[in-house]
Amino acid sequence: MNKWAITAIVLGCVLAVGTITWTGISWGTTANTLGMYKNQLEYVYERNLYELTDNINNIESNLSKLKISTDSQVQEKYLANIVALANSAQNNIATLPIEHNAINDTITFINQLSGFCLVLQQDLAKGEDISLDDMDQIASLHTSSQNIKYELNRLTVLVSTDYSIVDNVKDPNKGSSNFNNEFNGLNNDIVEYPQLIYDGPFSDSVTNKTIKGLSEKEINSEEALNRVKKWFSGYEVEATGETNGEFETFNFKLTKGNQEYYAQVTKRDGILLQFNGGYETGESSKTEDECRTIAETFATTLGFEDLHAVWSTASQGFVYVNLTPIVNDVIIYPDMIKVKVAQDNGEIVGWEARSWAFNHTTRTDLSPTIDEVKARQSLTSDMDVRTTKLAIIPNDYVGETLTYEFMCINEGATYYVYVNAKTGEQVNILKIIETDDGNLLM
Amino acid sequence: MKTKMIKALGLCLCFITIVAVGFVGVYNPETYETEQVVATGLTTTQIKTVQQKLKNWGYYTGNVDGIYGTKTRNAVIYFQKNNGLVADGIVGSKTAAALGMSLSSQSSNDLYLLAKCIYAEARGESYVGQVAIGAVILNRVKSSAFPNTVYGVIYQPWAFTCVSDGQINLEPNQTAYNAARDALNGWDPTYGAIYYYNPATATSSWIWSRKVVVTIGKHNFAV
Repeated sequence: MNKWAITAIVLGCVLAVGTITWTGISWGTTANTLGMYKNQLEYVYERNLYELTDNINNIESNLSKLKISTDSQVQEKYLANIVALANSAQNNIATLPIEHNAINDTITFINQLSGFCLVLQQDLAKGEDISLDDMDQIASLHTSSQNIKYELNRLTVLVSTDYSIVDNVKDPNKGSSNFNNEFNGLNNDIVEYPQLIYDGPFSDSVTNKTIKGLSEKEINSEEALNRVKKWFSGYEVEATGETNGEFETFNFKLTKGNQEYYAQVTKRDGILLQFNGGYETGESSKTEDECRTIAETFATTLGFEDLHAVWSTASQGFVYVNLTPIVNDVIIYPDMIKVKVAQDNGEIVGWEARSWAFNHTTRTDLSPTIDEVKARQSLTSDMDVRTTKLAIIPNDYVGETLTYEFMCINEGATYYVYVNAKTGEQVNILKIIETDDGNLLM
Repeated sequence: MKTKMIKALGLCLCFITIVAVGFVGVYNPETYETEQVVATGLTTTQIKTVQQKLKNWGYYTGNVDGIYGTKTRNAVIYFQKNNGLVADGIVGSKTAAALGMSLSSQSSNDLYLLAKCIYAEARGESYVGQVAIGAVILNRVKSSAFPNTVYGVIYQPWAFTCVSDGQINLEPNQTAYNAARDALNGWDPTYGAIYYYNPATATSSWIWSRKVVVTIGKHNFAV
């Protein structure tokens, strides 16, 4: 053996040993780190499952107490507990690795339970009693919660053994996972979730809204196309089909230069429901006020009479304008149309008339019962009132209310306070939040 | 001969040791800067940014320490005067804009996350197709069958492919931001859809049972 051969062998050995050792160390470290992450994830899942079970157990016990209580103060306490527990349960569920279709009935149940209890709580606060019908609902909610409780407690027992959630989860595209199947017992056909009808958040009655703003008279596709061409002269218009969603509409694609827009015209009455595109705005040359006027004029061309800009904010080269009808000096907020105007050339680049189509109607009762002085009494004394107007505002979920709108300044912040013009009660307070992207009403 | 072998082995051990030490070094846990909010309403990091910018432009001579003291305040006032702003020494949205920085505000976190999800899910789609993704997310927030926040909906396990594969962490472009803003302003090209899928790649039989409202680009939107 010559010297070179020996050197080569030694070098080869050194390299081989080095590589093997290095791979071993890095594999070990990665495996360790992965194992640590996996454990951490397992604990997050398990914690959420345990908390969810706790929350459902407590909801069940609060519902059972609510079922037999007769005192409104005690009832209010249980209702408040349920609302808080349901919100927390909702957060727990959202963290668990379950496919949506396996758990959506349960999420709906928890959301509606919380919405229903919130409405009952508000009714009690107004001095009303829980009706017999509502008591029946509470009883059936209690039954459902017992079934959920039973299933979840079975699951926590399973997880407290050496069952690993992480090991039993897999990509839903590759079939249903074991962990997913554990939730089969929560399906609607087993638990029997009640259908809840109430005027509050997540209610089924709120999701199925009726269209008040459009008559039964329908236009055909040709008429719709002609209208779009008339409203948007200078654009190439192409019909792209029909949609049968909340509204039945004819859809159009509009092109001007290299900008593309998308318009929808309702079959009933043929109004422009929506217009929107990805306009790239340049240097601003129009003021916010000019853009407000442009929006108002455009609404008139579309055949909307008496719409006025009641609010606007400028952001990133666009002015967002809210238009509402003003009837007998009353602002009709539920019929609001939102318009987006490009500040570089004053073109309309967005239009949204969904609220108008849902809510527009001739209001008959526009006169307040109490006068402005009386209404002002419900404001705190340190409110500096700048303007007062009459306004119809939408209620949180169903219906609308005639109010006095007081624009006030307090400690440098601007508020809009709405006072019921029939009863003098405060109905809503909005605050203007200044952000980098213009003003927000919250 | 033997000494040579020993030397070689010694070298080999040294090599392994160096590699191992280097490796452990790489695996040191990351350290995160904690943000402290001070009375100005700015975080320490934001104050440092203000100080750095003012220092670069010669308005400020003090340390970039994240402390909003008299020196910093005076520098801000000096800057405001020179730029036709209200010289109150407070970094509000207008002063921040003139400084070329952004103050995180209440709703811009939602906006950012929405823009990220739109970008990751639909950057190849038309503008309307991008607004549509934003609208579906916001429709889910309103729906009873989904979590009730933008975060909750986007991070719901298995809800979005881009969250599962990490593409959500890509930085969104201006188009995605505009689409997110339009969606937040209430534009909904999907008319209340809460699901969407690519019919060419969707494998879940359940999703096909939903009623399709509209097709935009590659996606079917369904309720």
